[in-house]
Amino acid sequence: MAKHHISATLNGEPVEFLCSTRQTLLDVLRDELNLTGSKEGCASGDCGACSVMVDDRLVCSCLVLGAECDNKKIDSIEGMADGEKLHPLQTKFLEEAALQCGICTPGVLVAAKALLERNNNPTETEVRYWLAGNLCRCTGYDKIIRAVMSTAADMRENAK
Amino acid sequence: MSSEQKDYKWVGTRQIRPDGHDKVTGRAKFGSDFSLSGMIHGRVLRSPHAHAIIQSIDTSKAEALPGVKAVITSKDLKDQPSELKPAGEGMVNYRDMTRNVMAREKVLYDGHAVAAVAATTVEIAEAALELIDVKYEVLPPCRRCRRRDEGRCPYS
Repeated sequence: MAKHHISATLNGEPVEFLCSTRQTLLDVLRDELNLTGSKEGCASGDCGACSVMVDDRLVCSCLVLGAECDNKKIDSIEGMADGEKLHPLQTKFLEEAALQCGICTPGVLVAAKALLERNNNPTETEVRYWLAGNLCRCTGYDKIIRAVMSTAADMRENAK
Repeated sequence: MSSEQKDYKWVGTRQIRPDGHDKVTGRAKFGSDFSLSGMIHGRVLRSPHAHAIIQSIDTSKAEALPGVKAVITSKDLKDQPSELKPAGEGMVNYRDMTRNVMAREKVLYDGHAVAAVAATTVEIAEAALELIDVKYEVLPPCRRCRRRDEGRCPYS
């Protein structure tokens, strides 16, 4: 079957790819574009390990078809740091030891960044609800929540 | 506890994990992130039933599909005697573990592995799974232990 020719913007750069109808955005990122930072945990939208932004909306890339992404703006974990300069969330995750095996980490970071861009003063409950779609099986959630809250506090301080 | 403070180089200090930078940037390579030339892909056929006797598994159509390199079922795994053997920090019954890895006489839960396929592409492997014909005799699910007297215990 003929493949779809898709033009999109990925992490700020123009990108073109060919994909079959059945390939998900996650398949395209990992298998066609060799960006393996987004992980496939469940392939059913439960675990959040494949979280990316499509047109500034937080989505599970396993639930989006590659063919849907024509002219879309896609942002993945690979675009979060500015070259070697880490995003404040990435730095804080390291300082707070908010990761162990690291499989959930890219998705958690993408989701947390989406939250802080909407709300730079979330309550702990809001952070926990926002990240409820990102499952972690080793670090536990407390350190992740602490790192997000602490980053938000720093960002508010820096904005003054 | 001694009140004496000692300046250790590492103990009592907080370290940034050495693999942390790669993990927060998505650069870290996990097993499934590797892609090699000539790599084949595996997919597992899983039980749709919580508890059932496997009457037969016909893998012939799957094996005949172009691109399929191998199909395995529990028949390809040597059965083990039921006895506890040392395994690392604990003891393991390899008879039970063999049945956990791949269903043998019965499937013991919804999602239990029944067969596995290796093929040249993921798409072919998934197509091959659909060509495997498993005949089940579906049994009532076992929700509690101690049902041995009713003949329902999955392990009986």
